[in-house]
Amino acid sequence: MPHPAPAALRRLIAPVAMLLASATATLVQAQPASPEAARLEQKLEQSLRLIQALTSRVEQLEKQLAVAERPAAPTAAAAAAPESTAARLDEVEKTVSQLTAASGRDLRDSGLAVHGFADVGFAQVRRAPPGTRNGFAVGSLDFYLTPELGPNIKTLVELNFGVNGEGETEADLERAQIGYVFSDQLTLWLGRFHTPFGYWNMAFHHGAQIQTSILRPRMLDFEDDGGILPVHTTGLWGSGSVKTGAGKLVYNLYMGNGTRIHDGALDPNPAGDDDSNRVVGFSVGHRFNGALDGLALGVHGLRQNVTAYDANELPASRTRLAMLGGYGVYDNEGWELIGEYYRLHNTDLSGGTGSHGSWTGYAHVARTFRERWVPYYRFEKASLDPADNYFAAQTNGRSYTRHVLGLRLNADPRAALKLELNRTRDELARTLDELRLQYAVSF
Amino acid sequence: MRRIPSIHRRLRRTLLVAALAAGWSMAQAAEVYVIANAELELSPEEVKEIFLGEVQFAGALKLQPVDNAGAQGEFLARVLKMSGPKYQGAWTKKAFRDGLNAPPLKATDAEVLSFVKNNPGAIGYVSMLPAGVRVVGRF
Repeated sequence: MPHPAPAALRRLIAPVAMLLASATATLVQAQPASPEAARLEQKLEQSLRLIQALTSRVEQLEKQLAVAERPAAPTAAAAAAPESTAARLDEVEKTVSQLTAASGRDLRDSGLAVHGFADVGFAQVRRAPPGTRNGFAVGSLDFYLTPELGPNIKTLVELNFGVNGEGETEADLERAQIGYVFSDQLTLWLGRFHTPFGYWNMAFHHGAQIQTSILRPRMLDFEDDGGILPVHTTGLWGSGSVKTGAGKLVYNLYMGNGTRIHDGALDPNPAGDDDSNRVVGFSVGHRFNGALDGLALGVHGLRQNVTAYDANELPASRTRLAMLGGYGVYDNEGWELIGEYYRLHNTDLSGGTGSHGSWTGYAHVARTFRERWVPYYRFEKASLDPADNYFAAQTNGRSYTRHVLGLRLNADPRAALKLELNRTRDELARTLDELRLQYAVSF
Repeated sequence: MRRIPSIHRRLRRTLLVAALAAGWSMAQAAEVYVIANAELELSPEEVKEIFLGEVQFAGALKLQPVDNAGAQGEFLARVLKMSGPKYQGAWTKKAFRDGLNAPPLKATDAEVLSFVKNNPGAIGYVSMLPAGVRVVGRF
């Protein structure tokens, strides 16, 4: 086999020679009559002579190398060595691979994948209730780790840091779930997870940078921010997907600690259930591909008994919460269209108020221009029965409507600047106007 | 005197042909070969789902997609039909939602080839037709 250096020279020389030869032929056909043409012809002839000399030298070097590489006599060591170049290359490749594996593993291979989100911003509230603060503020710092401890073991741990109304830093173990992946059709998780209902709760949660708007729909606020639905669950969760002709069917089945209401807010009981009533729920959806790529439709349901406690930690009411909902999403070709609907049929188990029907939902539309500019609008509405103990016991368990208008600038694939205006009107006809600015990054 | 412009024209023509030939050669070099470990049987239609984390297993075998920094632009444009920022964004969402990690990024064809040869569930892409692996598709 020719030595690599002469071979490379040959490859370099060949196209140059062809080009010069072609040019020479052209000039020869032209039969130069002027001094300039004669000079050009002379230069080309010199170049051709140089190429011929170089080619001869390369051939000479190749012959010398071939003689030098030929073994003088077979020895035991030589016999054991790889006989062909391909075998030698395989051996070198394997060695390099082993060396790499031993010393230079990157973070994603080592099972220590760390990701996160952070945001900072500004808020100005008009007609704000007493105690509301305006101005610049730290948003949240959200770390999540996704170490893969083996081909079938998945882990997801999320730690969120935020600042409360008094300026104190608070830390929340948002998610701590360890799963076993049997196949694409079934993964079993154990731990604390985002309750798999609807779309928004699973898709964005604390990921401020991947969420188009600054605020979540109010009915999906986190429990400690006054959210009225149980967006976290601690328990067992099975999920998976099955291919269909038109896309993929995805499902979630879960059970866990039931929620309680304490101090006017939902508490998902991550440290253990306060009673023996479990939450059970499901969701089934279909993600389309082909001509409908980007479209997803789904339904979901949840049922549990919720106890509300008074200031003395005594049970004040007990309600059977039954929620059914549906969602539709189109996320493709620069469009983000999301609609969600939640229907609640709650039954009073501790008093005589009977059953109560309520509903809430939103419609969200966003359009991306040049992969950078994203204007968006969202309308939210909650029509909640005030006689329902489940809502009456919660500070934010009131009907409302909200309009949200915003503009997002994707400064970078990992950074977004958002400006948002919203107007919220509650059942007491109070109106709240907010101007918000957020700078959010992912890493 | 009239022949000088004629010579120049011919020279320009010759150089243009040479430049076109070089351009054609570069276009040929930009092809992407999706490769998989010899034990793995995949169809070209499955490649996109695998690289976006939608499919993780082939039977009982855990799939191990791997990106190639040297050919990623061509791969994303020709196979996944998306831009680099969009691919990055898709994986940010996937990691956060499903706890999956993006394919590890290798620097060269040689690194990808070595990884694919030595890992039973591996799938990658290179810019030159390789030997010793299964070629899933040429794009």
